[in-house]
Amino acid sequence: MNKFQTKINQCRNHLLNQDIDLGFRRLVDCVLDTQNLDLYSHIIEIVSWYDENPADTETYLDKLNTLITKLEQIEIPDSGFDQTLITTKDLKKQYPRSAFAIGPIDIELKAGEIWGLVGENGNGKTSLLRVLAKDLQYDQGEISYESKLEKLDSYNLRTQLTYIPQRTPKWYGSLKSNLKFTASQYGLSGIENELTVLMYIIRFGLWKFRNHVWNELSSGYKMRFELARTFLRKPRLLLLDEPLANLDVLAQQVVLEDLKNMSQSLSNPLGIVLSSQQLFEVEKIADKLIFLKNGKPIYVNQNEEKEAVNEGSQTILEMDLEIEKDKLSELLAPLSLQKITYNGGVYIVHIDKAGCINEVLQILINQQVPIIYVRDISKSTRRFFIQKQHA
Amino acid sequence: MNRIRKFDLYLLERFPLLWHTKICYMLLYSVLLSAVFYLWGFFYTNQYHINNRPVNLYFSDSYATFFLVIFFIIGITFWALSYFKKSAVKNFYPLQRFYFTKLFLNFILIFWSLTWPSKTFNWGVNQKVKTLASLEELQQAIKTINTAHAFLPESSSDYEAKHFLATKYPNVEWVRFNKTDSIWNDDGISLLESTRNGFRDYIPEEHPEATNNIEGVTIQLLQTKKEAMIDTCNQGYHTVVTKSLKYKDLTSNKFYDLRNYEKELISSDHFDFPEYDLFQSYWAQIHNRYGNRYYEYYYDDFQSVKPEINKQVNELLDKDSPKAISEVVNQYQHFLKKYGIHHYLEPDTILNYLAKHPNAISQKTIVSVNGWGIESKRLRRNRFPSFEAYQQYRNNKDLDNDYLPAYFVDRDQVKQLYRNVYDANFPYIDWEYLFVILIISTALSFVFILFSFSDLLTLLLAIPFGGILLVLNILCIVFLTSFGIHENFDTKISIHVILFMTLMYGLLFWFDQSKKVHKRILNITFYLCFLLTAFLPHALLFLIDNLFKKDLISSCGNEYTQHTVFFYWLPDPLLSLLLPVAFMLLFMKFIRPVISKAD
Repeated sequence: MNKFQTKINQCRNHLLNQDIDLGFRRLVDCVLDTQNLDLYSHIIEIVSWYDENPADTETYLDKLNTLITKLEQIEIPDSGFDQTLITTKDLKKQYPRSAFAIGPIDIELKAGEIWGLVGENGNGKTSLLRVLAKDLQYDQGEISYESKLEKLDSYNLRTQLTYIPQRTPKWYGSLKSNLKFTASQYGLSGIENELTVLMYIIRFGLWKFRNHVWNELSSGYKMRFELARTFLRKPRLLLLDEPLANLDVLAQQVVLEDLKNMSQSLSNPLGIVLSSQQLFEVEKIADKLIFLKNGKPIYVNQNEEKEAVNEGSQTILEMDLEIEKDKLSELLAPLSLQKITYNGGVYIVHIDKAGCINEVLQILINQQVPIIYVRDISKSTRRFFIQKQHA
Repeated sequence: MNRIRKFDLYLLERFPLLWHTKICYMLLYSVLLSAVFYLWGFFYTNQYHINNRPVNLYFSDSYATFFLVIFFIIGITFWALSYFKKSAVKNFYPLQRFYFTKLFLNFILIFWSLTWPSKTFNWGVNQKVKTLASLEELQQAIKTINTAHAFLPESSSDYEAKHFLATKYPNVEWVRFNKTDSIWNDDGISLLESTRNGFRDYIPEEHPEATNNIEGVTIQLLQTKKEAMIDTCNQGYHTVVTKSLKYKDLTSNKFYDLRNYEKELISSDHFDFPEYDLFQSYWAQIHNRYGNRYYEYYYDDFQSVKPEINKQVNELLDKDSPKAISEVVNQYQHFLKKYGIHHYLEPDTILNYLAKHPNAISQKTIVSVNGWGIESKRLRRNRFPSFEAYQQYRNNKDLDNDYLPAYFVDRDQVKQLYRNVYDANFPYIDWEYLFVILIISTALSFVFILFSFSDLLTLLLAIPFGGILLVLNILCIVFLTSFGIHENFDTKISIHVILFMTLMYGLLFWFDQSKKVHKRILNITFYLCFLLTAFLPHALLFLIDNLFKKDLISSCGNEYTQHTVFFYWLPDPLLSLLLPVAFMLLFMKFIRPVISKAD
C-alpha cells in the first residue's frame, strides 16, 4: 500500500468515525495530490453545496464517500521523497561589530521532512532561516540545493525558497484576488487558476473568508492565508519564522497539522524549516530539531529518538506542584535525585535513572501532593531552556 | 458592474501584469477624460475666440491645462496607490519573459495616455472651428477680401507706384530720397555698377540723368541684372545696374494710384497645405528642411509681389463700374458681419468719397486696422455734417490721434480667422510636443520602475549620493579643462564622462560579486548606474565623435570641423528618446540578479 492509498484509507476511517473535519482535510489533500481539475471541481461543488445545506450532514458524507471512491481508482506513485533539498556544511554567519556568530550549522533537509528550529530569543533563529532562504549573506561554509534548484539563477531560486517572516506584511484587496494574483504569477491561468485557488482556500479553511480583506481576518486566518499563498507557489523549501506566534492554542494545532500534511504532499513534497517557541507542539510534528544556544546548534533527531548530544541515562521532569522545594527534594531523594531547579514557576527535576516518571508520580500521589502537571522532558528541547541557578 | 468584474477576473487570470498595472482602467480613464476635454474644447470655442486667439492657445486660455494637471495627479495618485499595493518582484514571484520591459512600456503608455486630453481638446476646438467657419467659403472669400481692401485705404504706401512696377518689371530697382527728401535712401539696397576695373558701388548722386521727378517725389528707376561673384570663396550674386529708366516709359499710373495696389491681406495660396508623409513632416519640423510654413506657416505676405491682386483691382477699375466695386466691398462687409469681425464701414460713403477725391489714398487713413476708441471716433465723426467734411478736417490736422479714422476693419481678426481655419483643417503632428511628452513619460516610468523593486529609504538615499557624485564630476571637469588648449574641451569632457561611467559600472560589478558590501550600497550604486545608462549612448556617441572628428582648413582658408555621422545623430529627438530607452531596457536585465542578492 503506497502513501496515496494510505491517505485515502485514513480519510475513509476519519469519516466513518464521524471525524468529519479531519477526514475532509485529508480528502482535500488527496485531491490536491491528484492535480486533477475535474476532481478539484467536484470537491468545490461539494463545499458549495454544504455551505448552503450545513444541516444535511448525511448527504454531505455520501458526497464525500463518492469522491473517495473516485480517488481509489487513481494511482499516484510515491516519488520525490527522501530527495535532499538543501545541505549546509559548516555554515557560519558572523555579525559585523559583534562577537555573536551563528554556526557551524550542518543541515541535510529532505523532501517531506520538517525541521524545527528552537532557541531563546536573540540566538539566531531568524538569521539562520534568512540565510537558508538566500535572504542573508553567510560568511563561511557551503549551502547546496537540489540539482533542479541549483541550476536556477538567484532570482528564480528565491521563487522556490519561500520564506515567511514572523510579521507578514499587510496585503490589499480580497483574500481570493491576492491568491489568484499569486497563482497567475506562477503560471496558473484561466480555469486552472480559479480551481486551484479555491482548492487552497478550502484546504486552509478560508472558504467563508474568501472575499474578506486583511482587516477583517484574525491573526490565525492571516497565517492560514499566508500558508495558502505559499503552497500555491509550490515551493520546494518552506522557511517559516515563528508561524505560531499570535495564534491561539487551537489555531497552532491546526497550522502545525496542516504543515505536517502538506509536507507529505505527493504532488509537491517539500521540506519545511520552522522556528518556534512552542517547543512541545513543534516537537510533535518535526522530524528533526535544532536548538540554537548562543548561535551554536544542538541537533535532536526526533525520528530516531536519539540525541546528538550525549546526556547519559537521565530522566528530566518538568513539574508544577504545590509543594516546597525542600519537601520535594526529600520525597524524591530515594530515586537518585541529581538536582531540582526552580525554573519559570515550575520545578525541573533531574534524576539519574532512565524512564522513572511513573515512580515519581507514584511517590507524589502517595504523599498526596497536589499535582498541576508533570511532563517528561528528557528528550525534549525544553531541557535546554533551563536557567542557570545562581548562588 | 458584473461585466467589469468578469473582465477584471479575465485579466487577473490570464494577464497578471496588465491586471497589476491597471493599464486598461487607466486607458479608460484617459479616454473618458479625453472625451470630456474634447467637449470642453468644442464648447469653449466660439467665433470671438476664433477671431482673436490662435487655436493652440485655447487649451491654456480655458484653464484646461490646470484641470488636466489636477486630473493627471489624481489619476496617477490613485493608480500608484493601487499598483504599489502589490508587487510580484518584492514577493519573489516568477516573472514572465521581458517582465520589466513590459512593465516599463506599460508605464510609458499610462503616462502618455494621460496627456491625450490636451490633444482631444484641440480636436474639439478644430471641430468647432470647422463648424463655425467653412473652409470653402473662406477660400472663395479671399479674392473679395483682398480686392475690397484696395478700396478701403489704410496707408498711402500701399498705393505707391513701386508696387505696380514691381509686378510688371521684376528687375527694376526703385531708389528714392529718404522720408525727409534730403539724401538718397540706400537702406537695404546694395547696387553695383560696372567699371573698367570691375564693379563699384552705385551712388545715385553721381547719376543725375537717371533722376525722375514725379508729382514732387524724386526717384531713380534702375534696370538691374544679377551677376555671380567671381570669388569662389564668397559665393553669391551682385545686383548690377545696367541702365536707368524713365518713369513715364514704364507706366502711366500716378505716383499714388489705386491701380498700383497689389497687397494681399490673405494670401491666395493660404489654404495650400503641403503634402508631407510622416518622415517628411518629422524632418520638416525637427530639421527645418521644408521651411517654416509647415509648423509656423504664417508669414507676412507684404514681402512678395502679388500681380494677381493688382490685376483684379485694375480689372474692376477698367470696367469703370462703381456698382461692381460697391458690390465687392459690400460682399466683404457681409463676410465681416457673418464672421463677427470687428468693423465699422459705410461702403457707399467711402467709395463715393474716393471717387470724388482720387488723391484721398495719399492722404489720411480712411479705414484703420483696428477699432480702438470706436466710441470717441463716432462722437467726433458725428460732430461733422458729413464724412467728407470730417475727412477734410482730418487732412488739415497734424495730430491724427485726436481725430482717428472714421472707419475700421480689424484686419488682425481677419488674419486670425484664416489662420485658425487653416490650423483646424490641416492639423499636423507636433513632433516636438510629442517627444517632450514621451521623454517626460519615460522619465516618470523610470522613477516608477525604480519604486517597483526598491525600498523607499534606499531610493531616497541615492539622491544625495548622486548629488555628491555630480558635484565631484563638475569639479573634476572644471579642473581638467583649466589646463591645456581650448580645442580639447569636448574631448576631455567626453573622456571624463565615459571614464566615470566605466568606474560606476565597475563598482556595481564589484559590489555585486562581493559578500562584504552592504546590500544598500549595492542598491544605491545600481540606481545610479541605471540612471547613467540613460545617458550612456549619447556619451558614447559624443566620445566617438570627439575622437574621430577632424579640424580642417578649406581651400578658402576657413577653419571647419569634419564631424562623424554620430555628431548629427546627437541632437535628433527620435534618437534622443530611443537610444536611452533601448539602453535602459537592456540594463533592466540586471534588476533580477541585484534584487535577489542576499543582504
